[in-house]
Amino acid sequence: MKINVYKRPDGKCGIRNKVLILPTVSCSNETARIISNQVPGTICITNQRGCGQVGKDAEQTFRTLMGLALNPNIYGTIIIGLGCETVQPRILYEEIKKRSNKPLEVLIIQEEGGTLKTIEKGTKLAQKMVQEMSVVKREETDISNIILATNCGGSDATSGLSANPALGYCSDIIVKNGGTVILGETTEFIGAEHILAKRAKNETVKNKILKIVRDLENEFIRLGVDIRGANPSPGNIKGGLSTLEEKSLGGISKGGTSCINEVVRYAEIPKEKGLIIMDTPGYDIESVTGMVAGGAQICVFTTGRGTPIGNPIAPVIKITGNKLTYEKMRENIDIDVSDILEGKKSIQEAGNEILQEIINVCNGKYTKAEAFGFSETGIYRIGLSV
Amino acid sequence: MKELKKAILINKNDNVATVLNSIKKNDRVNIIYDNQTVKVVVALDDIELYHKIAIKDIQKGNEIFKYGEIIGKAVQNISVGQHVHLHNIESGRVKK
Repeated sequence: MKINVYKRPDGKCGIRNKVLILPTVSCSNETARIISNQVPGTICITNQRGCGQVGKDAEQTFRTLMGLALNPNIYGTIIIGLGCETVQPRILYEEIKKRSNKPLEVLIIQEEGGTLKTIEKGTKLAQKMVQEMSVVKREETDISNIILATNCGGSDATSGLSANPALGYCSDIIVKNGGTVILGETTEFIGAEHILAKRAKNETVKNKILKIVRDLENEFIRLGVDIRGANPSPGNIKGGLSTLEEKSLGGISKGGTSCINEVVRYAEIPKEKGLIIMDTPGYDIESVTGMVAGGAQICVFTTGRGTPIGNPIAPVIKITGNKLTYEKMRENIDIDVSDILEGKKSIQEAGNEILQEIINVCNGKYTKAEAFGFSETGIYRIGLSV
Repeated sequence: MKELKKAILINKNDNVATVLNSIKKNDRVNIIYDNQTVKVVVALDDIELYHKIAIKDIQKGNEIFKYGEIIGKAVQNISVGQHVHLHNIESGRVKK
């Protein structure tokens, strides 16, 4: 199975070609945004983190920002820092440099002498980088170079009966062809973790799967919160999902039925290929951002209630098995698989349609969210602001 | 002609099915498994599209099965044909 990609000097394969203007902290968001607005071909994320963070939470934000720059869809990155933040811009620069020889620059507002000077310098650097990027041509490669992020959001009872198993069929094909699929949303393993644990490659992977679920469940108990009402969400409940176990059992099918080769932390780049579990939250924006930081070049996102979500770095293909949702939100949803529940199409047929769309999007076709320029990003926090 | 009402049964051991039409009380609902009608159930409640209908009597405290797996337990006795949702089942996980 072949796709046409942009080959990077670090050996990875991108399906998009973009320059990332990367703010290290909220304080440099506006400066980064102004540079990005000035130079088509660049993208920018909104960073709500980057300072006042400690311990594992600070490490996780750092790892996410680094992972976004390392994503194969990124040609090169210009880091825009403030100077005094937790995520130190020069350390971020050095850590990215250690892992990739892609183009990389760093500007620090406090050192450049304010935002205007930073914008001027950053705009010039971005213009040069985009021009250099424009001569990179797509080359044929194997689909085994793809990391597919899977996510479900705004689920209803159709998700687990149609869109998720159809995506799961497609996930299995990608794994069989040597590719990588990431299954996340640990909250939505609760009640289904025994099924995943049985498919672990070895005892270590099995124990890690059970541990991330147990740790999360214990954290809810420690906080004294009842997650019912938040998960399943009010929309999930309206859509017919009564319990978290029910949602989870429907959710995990999107990863398919392959052996689980590795469990990675949020925003961690997998070492293994095949089916990988990433410890992400159920909150879609943060989950997708974590998988993209983990190297996913493309995301397939199933929904029952409908959602506009996109991502600035990886195209997001959206699928629903709910005909009414598709009719109401056609401009936001790429594929309607409601024929499965109507008995007019098999899960395999729908899965093959999703696979064909993945190949089309890998080769350059815009998804609906991409054509709107949607760029939702969110970094999962696991600590207090200090 | 009255529309044929349907609900999909995912696993033979399940005691609930997912309705594929909006159901009115007293509607006859065909329970479909593997494209075959395996049972006809008379609805005891109005049931919203894609919500669950009990296809077996379930005693209070007993488990609810969907996908052949446990999705929660009954907090009251549930009769065949009743709407199964937050009012009569609860999660077994992450409780205060």
